[in-house]
Amino acid sequence: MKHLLIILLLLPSLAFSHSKVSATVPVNGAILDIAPDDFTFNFDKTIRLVSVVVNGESATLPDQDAFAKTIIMTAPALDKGRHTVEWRGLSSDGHPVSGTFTFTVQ
Amino acid sequence: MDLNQWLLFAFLAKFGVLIGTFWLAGLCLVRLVFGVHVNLRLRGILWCLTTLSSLAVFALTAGILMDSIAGMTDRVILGFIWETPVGTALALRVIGLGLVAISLLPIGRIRDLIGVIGSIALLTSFVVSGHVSGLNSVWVSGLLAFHIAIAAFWIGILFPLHTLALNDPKDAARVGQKFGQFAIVLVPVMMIAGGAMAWQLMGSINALLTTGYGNLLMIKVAGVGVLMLGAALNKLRFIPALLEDDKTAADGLAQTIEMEGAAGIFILAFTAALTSFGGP
Repeated sequence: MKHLLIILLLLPSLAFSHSKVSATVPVNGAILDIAPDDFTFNFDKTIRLVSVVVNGESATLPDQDAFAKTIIMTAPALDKGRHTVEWRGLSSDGHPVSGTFTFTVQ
Repeated sequence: MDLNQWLLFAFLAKFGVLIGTFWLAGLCLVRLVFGVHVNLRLRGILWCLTTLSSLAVFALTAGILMDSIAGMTDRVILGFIWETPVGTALALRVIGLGLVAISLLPIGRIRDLIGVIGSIALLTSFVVSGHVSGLNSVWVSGLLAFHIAIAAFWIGILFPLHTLALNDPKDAARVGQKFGQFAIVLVPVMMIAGGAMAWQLMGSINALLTTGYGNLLMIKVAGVGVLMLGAALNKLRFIPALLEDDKTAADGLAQTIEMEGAAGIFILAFTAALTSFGGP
């Protein structure tokens, strides 16, 4: 039983493989001259965003009437510097999905 | 809680759903087909296990999604999940458990039929959710339906046959022989359906050896091999010996059923792992 539990605990690397974000705007690692007005999330399957945290603070989510492959949300006001966006969503197949991207405003 | 803890709880809840659903549905099926006595208290315990673990799977999906215990009771988030196959599966389980609960009441022979209809709803919950449903293929979903119905039927016979082997070997021989006649047709169908589903999910036979999901699937197949070994021993050795009034065969039959039961638990644990921790 102990060995079984060890195997099972090693498995989470397989997790969250059900839906992937195929692209974001700004793209991960982007260096921008001006802060973006919006964030765009493109997914390979339809999802609902349930949480977006920018630099550790919850951002206001857009209205979502249904599951969608592309979600655009208004970005909070951002100063110069490096910014981190952590998002969570529910894939239409019922699986939780999550991800992070960063960009820099110079 | 960190991700590993969430996933461990999700695995335990899924394992509870699998054990409870397959055993409960299997008992309803064999009760109707073979007319065997099935302990009412056992069915009551399995009903409670299935109910609690079904609710836990649903709530844990919300907890994992929000990474918070409060998320498990967030009505908005639970509403989003209700719109997905996870919600459909819960609805089917609620309907199935309701019908099975009616079948536990003393309402005559009709209760066995109601129990089987409830079991079909319970087992269908695995067809509408999970990795196979993501393929959006009617024939692969049909294969899964066959696969799980036969697996439940197999799991369902174990406990009643074990009880009969210890208390009424003659009836154990009758039921065992009848089950063997079913198994000769059903087990190959179950294996072919399982193989075809694995091929559809993985895309190639090679992926069984080269991916984590494929390796887990192979471990599950090894568990099925142990189950088949036990079934073959029963069919070819112990049941024929019991039919010839060999009383010592009853102990052998009981022991191989215990081995099959252990293999069944092992298979369901790995199925829970496969469906909790990732996809192909």
